[in-house]
Amino acid sequence: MAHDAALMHDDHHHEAPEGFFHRWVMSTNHKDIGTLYLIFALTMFFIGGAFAMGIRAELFKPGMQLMQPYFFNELTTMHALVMIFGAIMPAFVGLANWMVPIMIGAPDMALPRMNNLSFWILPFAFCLLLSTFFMPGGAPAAGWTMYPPLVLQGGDSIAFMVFAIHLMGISSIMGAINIIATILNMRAPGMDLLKMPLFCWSWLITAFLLLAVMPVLAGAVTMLLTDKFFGTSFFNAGGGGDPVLYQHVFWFFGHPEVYIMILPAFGIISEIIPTFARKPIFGYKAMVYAIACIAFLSFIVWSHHMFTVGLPLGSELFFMYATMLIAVPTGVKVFNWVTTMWRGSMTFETPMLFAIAFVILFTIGGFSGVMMALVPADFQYNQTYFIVAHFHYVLVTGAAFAIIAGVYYWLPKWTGNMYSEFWGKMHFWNSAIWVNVLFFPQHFLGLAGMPRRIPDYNVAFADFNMISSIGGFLFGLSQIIFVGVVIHCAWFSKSRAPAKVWEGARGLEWTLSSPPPHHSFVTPPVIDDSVLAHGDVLH
Amino acid sequence: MNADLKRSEDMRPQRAARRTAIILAIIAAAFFVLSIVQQLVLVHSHH
Repeated sequence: MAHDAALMHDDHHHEAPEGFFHRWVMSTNHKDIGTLYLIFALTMFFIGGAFAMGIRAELFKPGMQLMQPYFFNELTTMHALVMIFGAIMPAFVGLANWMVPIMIGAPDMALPRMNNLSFWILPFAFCLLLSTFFMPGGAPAAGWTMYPPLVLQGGDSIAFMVFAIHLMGISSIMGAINIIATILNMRAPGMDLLKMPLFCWSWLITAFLLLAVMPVLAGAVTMLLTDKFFGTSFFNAGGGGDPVLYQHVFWFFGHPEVYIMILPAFGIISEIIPTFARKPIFGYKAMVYAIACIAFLSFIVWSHHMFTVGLPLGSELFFMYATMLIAVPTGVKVFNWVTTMWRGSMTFETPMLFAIAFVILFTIGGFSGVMMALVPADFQYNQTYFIVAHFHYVLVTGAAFAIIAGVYYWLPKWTGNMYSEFWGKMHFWNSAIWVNVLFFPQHFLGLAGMPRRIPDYNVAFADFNMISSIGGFLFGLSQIIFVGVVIHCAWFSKSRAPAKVWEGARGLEWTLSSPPPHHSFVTPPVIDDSVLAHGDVLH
Repeated sequence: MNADLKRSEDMRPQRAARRTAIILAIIAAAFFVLSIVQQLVLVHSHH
């Protein structure tokens, strides 16, 4: 067992190494690497957010205001790439790095040097990607899906984008391998798989998704690269290839990718709601099976992104019904969260507020997803702002809200200080209000026929666009409160956090001091089922 | 070798974790190769 070696080890290094370089650049400590991931993700969140502000400023009113159409396309493309690969995914990996080892009673991640490499690849990947703005021909501008033949008509920046995606892919695959190896090999004695916190379960399944689909994305962009620079014709109809094949390969990656960005969010919410409802999660095993079921279904629905390319009727029916099936395990999760809250002794601290907002607003995004699963309806919604509204409800009020909820939930554990509840709630209410002002009108714009990815539009769409832009600016500004709360909590807060920060919290992480020692479990924890959130699960 | 690293190495079940990692890396590499090979086959079969 992992701890045999730990027990025999005569340890003299309880403290973090001295010196900035050794502490952060050479780090093999899961908590420090988790912190690095989270800081990186926050930085990318603001860079991607700045692109979004540019997009909404241009769309504030009809006509061309601030930029050339090609630059607008660069902004939409880079906004998506930065937010997906730079903000959401690294934030979840950061949370996993911080929490998975201490939730399962492990001393660290299984492969700490690879952990270091996984993180430090990322800043280089994004420097490469962002540097394309300064290249002749500009940044990639064909959308984050990089469909040929359009993407092949861009400048040489495609090579930079492809290499950056390769690096991000390698980073993600190494991260996924590390999480699986940690969970399968490093659990403390007595921490059975079906006693693990749901956050660990959600990440175990997500890691398998990452492992299966990131190489496929790497394959797809490699073929784009050879089509562009080495004369192959994978996706070039003139040379015997087929551009639609690219879409199949891309979405075989792309749809599981959607779940890579939401399953860890489900895990976080499943930790927070029982804590603040002061009840165990309703249907623990059903929650685990639901995550596994969603992960399986995510592999057999990819063509619902391509209903309008001219699929055979049988394919369209299969992908329509398979997509609608996903609503069943997702419904299990939503009902279980609601049932966990039912007759609980609920309090509404900031993490709980974000978690409740997640349940409501993610469900709105889920419902619009079921709407566009219907083939005939999707022919109307396709390429409109309805799609934009849908996936922002899923990714902003879903994934991003869950990350923010997780940060508020675990921040006192990480820093040893309490954050300001007043400013946390200010952040919540501003975010919850303005995000709806930002994205809800986009449903109406889409239903009225406004296409996505355009810098100018018909005057008929002016009012809702102006409302959406105002919501966007204020939602963006609200996030500055978040940075203020985090900085205040980490360095200036006078209020010390106890080991068990929240009254209703259960799990191994709350048995450690706040902040935890540099090396979490020097000796293996004695697993007391009553301490675990799911230690006494019988159903 | 820094102290963290030495300590981390001492503490983990080296062989089991490495074996898991190697198997998973092989699976990932297989997916990469398969994604390109199936495209080659599909494009070739269209001719």
